[in-house]
Amino acid sequence: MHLERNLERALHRADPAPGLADRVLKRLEPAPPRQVRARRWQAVAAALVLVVLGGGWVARHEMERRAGERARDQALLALRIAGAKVRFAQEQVRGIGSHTNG
Amino acid sequence: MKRIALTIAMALLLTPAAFAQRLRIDLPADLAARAAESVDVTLDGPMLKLASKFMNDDSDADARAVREMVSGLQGIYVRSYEFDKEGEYDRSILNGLRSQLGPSWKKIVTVQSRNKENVEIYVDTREGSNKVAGLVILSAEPKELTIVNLVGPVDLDRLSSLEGQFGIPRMSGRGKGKNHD
Repeated sequence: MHLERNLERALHRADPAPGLADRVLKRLEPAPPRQVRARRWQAVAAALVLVVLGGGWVARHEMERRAGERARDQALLALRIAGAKVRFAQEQVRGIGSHTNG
Repeated sequence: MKRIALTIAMALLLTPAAFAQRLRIDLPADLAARAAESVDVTLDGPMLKLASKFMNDDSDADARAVREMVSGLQGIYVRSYEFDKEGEYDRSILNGLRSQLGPSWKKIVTVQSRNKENVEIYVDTREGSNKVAGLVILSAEPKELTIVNLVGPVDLDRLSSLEGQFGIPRMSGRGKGKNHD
């Protein structure tokens, strides 16, 4: 009699807690499309930021390179002109020296 | 703090010296317009540093020397005009430049010719040293006027041997291939 009562209590049907099915299903569901879209946009935005930053760096580097090459060419041109004048003067002085000695 | 004050004091002391070596090249505004070819180079400290960065010096000693010379300079100022016919400029404009040269400037060479090139070379030998701290070249030809002002240490022998080296083409025989600025 005692055993029967125990069995009856153990095998008694009990209803699950309210909302359990929903909670289980929600866990099994994939992320809602809105969330997925938001993540995609975040990735696109990050990529755009990288492209803009990278592009800016490349453009700045290119501008610096052009300015540097232009400055180098101008410096070499100036030295070329100065060198030619000094050389001319030296040759004139040497010419006079050789005439005087000869 | 002391170091900063010392740096500022040094900069204040050196700045007038650099300015003193720099010539104020005031030429008539229409000179370039009258010239068939003109060169106008104005490079000061930061631009010279940048220029020297773009000079390869891996290959030979001459290239290294040019780079060292450029990086040691505080300023390069050149005006050069080539005219189609004679009498396009007044030689007296050079007087204004000569008058700016103070007592530390010494004229080391004068080449005078009635029909050809007249060249005057001045060097600035500060503090009684033998080192050249600045260079001015005034060159007047019937059809050409050239003014060069280098501010900073200049090795004249090195400078005169630069032609044909390190991508510097020869100008001897007159530079008909001058680059325009």
